[in-house]
Amino acid sequence: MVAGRTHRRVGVTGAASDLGRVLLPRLLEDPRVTEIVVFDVTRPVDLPERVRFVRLDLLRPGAEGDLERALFEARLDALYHLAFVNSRVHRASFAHELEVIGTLHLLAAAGAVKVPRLIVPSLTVLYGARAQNPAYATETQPLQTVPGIRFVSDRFEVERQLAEFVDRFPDVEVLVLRFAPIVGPSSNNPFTRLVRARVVPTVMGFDPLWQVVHEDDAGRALYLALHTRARGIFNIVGEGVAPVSSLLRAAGTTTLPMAGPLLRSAVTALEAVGLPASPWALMDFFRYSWLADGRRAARDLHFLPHLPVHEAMATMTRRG
Amino acid sequence: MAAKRVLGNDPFKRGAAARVPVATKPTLKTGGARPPTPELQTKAKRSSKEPVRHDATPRATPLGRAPASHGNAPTIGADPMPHAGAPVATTLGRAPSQHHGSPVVAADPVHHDATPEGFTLGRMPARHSHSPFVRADPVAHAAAPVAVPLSGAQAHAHSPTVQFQAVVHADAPSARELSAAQAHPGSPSLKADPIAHAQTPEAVELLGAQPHAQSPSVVVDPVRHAETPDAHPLSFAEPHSQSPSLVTRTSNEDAEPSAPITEQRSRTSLLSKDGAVASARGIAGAVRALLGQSGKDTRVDAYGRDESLVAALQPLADALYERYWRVTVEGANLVPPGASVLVANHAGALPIDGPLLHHALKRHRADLKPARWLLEDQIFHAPGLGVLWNRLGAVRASPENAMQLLADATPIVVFPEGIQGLSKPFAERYQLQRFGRGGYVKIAARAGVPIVPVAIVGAEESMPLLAKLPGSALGMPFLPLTLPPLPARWFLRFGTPIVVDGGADAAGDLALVQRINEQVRDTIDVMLKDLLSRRDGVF
Repeated sequence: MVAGRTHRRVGVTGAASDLGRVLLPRLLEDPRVTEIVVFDVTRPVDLPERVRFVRLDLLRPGAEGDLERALFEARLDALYHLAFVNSRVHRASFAHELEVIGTLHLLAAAGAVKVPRLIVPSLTVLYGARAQNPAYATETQPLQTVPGIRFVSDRFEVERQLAEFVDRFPDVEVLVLRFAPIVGPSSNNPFTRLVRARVVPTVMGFDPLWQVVHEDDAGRALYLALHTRARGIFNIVGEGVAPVSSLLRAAGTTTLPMAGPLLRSAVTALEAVGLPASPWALMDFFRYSWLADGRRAARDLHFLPHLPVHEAMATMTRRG
Repeated sequence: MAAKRVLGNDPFKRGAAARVPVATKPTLKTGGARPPTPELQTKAKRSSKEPVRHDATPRATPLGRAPASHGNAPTIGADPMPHAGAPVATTLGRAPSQHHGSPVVAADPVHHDATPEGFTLGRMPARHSHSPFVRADPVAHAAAPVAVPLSGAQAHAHSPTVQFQAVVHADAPSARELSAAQAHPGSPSLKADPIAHAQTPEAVELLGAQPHAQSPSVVVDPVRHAETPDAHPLSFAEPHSQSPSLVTRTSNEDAEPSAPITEQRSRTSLLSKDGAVASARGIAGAVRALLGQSGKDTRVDAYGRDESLVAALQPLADALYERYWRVTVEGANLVPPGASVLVANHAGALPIDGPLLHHALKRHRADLKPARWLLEDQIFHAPGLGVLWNRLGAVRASPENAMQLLADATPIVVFPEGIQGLSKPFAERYQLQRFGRGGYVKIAARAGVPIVPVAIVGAEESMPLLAKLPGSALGMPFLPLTLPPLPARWFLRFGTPIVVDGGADAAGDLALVQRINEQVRDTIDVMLKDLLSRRDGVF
């Protein structure tokens, strides 16, 4: 920590998201953070008094103008962009608008105002599960989308915009944190919904290695990104890896191994009758390991996860 | 030592005679006006059915009748005059067993012009296993005395600026080498010429040989190569041809064990109650792993190895190792401490050679980190088997994984033949396939770790590939039709480590990579033939 590197005025979009909820308490505890500005369409419930709320609709046409003005007035030192949809309640088209178009507006405004630091979460899912991938994906590994899975393809699009933004505005310190699946009692994302399912089919004869990161660790990593001198992309993963069947069972889920061809035809049949089943593309995540190398975060971000993978999964058994 | 037998009484006789053909009458041809590009080794796709031919050969020198032109050493057959392009051919098949104890040196001067050129004199017939001799091959005045091993030798081609050092642990002569070993008691040590040290004397240590008491470092003066005086009944000279800017050595100076390495015998017998219970649990765990259903307490390391499953299967593995397959290991002490790239031949319908080699290393070299073997995609991603192998320690073969493991001081085992090694029919057993594109050489160069050639005999007969069934439904290239593992005896032999210096530069030098790749392949081939020739009976 160097003087002048402190980010005293911090802005947050998506403060009500899972990541926002684990981040805000840490910001509030930090004496170096003098002001927190939350941008949202409505004031999140139980927002502490200290936090300044600025009403902002990222989706409204011309939102970048409003945002630009708001950012300029707030004279932020750092901006967290956490407005991503993880829960299932939203319609897919809305989620796409918020994630892709919302980020587009935000980046336009952040570039115009030259926000000193921009911190955006991303996903290690974007490295994909491929037979040819190395065991551990480093931050330089090319990303790939999973066609038909909005959750992945939208974030892929966001990453693409961020890469362009970094090229265009080299003065802005952009930190992208690619999170392994975030687990924890208060998390709600596609992965936790999978874990909370009663029975999860897996592919027989395959047991790929997965990583998770606990929500507390994820929040800590986000917070560490505020003060670090490093910039760039960081994989945020929990400690250790586990075979997917072991990982799901540690959370109290029953796994049902199904023969690959059988599973494939089941998925095809469900799709044919129009049920929103997981496409076959996601099955690769149940066949090939997809692990990310978290050493850069440990070295430059000083992020060391506290909870090993099985303990992190065990927190999921306490269902609320 | 039993009498020499072709393929060691291979009961599957078909094609057996053809596999050790050099024994009959190989005309090994060397020399000649060769292009300066060192392509010969790569070009020579050697089928073991015919002797290695190297080039046009106007003159043949049967090794058994080495010219007496070097008066000082009657047992040295050397051609002292380095005539430019004077082609010499040596018939190797004539080295008879009357050379017992009298090492023969055949110096074979080939080129006088300074062309750094790689060529291999080729395999020596397996029947030479009792007549060790040294074959000196001064190329471009960089003398390359090659210690011809028990069964084979390759030549050295060195450019003058290439350093090729080999620190020899004159291993205590093994039982079968005893007669030869008497020929050079003590630790002969020759003076080195600083410009062109070319020497590759190596010794193969057999199981049970005494630790390296003497370490004669044999250094050969390239200028005085004609009188290259010493014949060592050492084994396995590797051919080395280097590009001038790189330094390559075969060395095992690091591998000096302070104490004799003893095999870690199994403590828990399978037949004991504890062993049986543990084994039952291990088998249950293995079946769960095969199905892809690990328990909720399954802990794996960063690459998927399940230590508790490995421990549970230990008694069973020991029983298979000691009683069923009766594995014999030679030269395990040659494996240097720390990281290294062990290169082995791949064989059998199902790749049990990886775990077996891993197990052998664990028993013989407890000082090393457990070796990880790299598996080609077709096996690593095969349903069931891939998961089980991964839990036992296999890692998918990829440069990134290999570099990472080496950085963690883990020895890695690679099978450069890949799926080709597994998919050859039984009739072609122990015939090495193409060694990939030499990726492991690049990795070893980049990581600065030695390459250890390993020959494995027994896999082919344990799990013969009888037929290939279509396996596309399971995403496999084929489904092997095989027998349940047969109790063939296994022999593992580790060769002298080869160090590729030069780092990333060497890794980028494709010609060098190919030469070393071919050299490693030749070395393994020679070791295989030697093991096969000494094997009496498959089962």
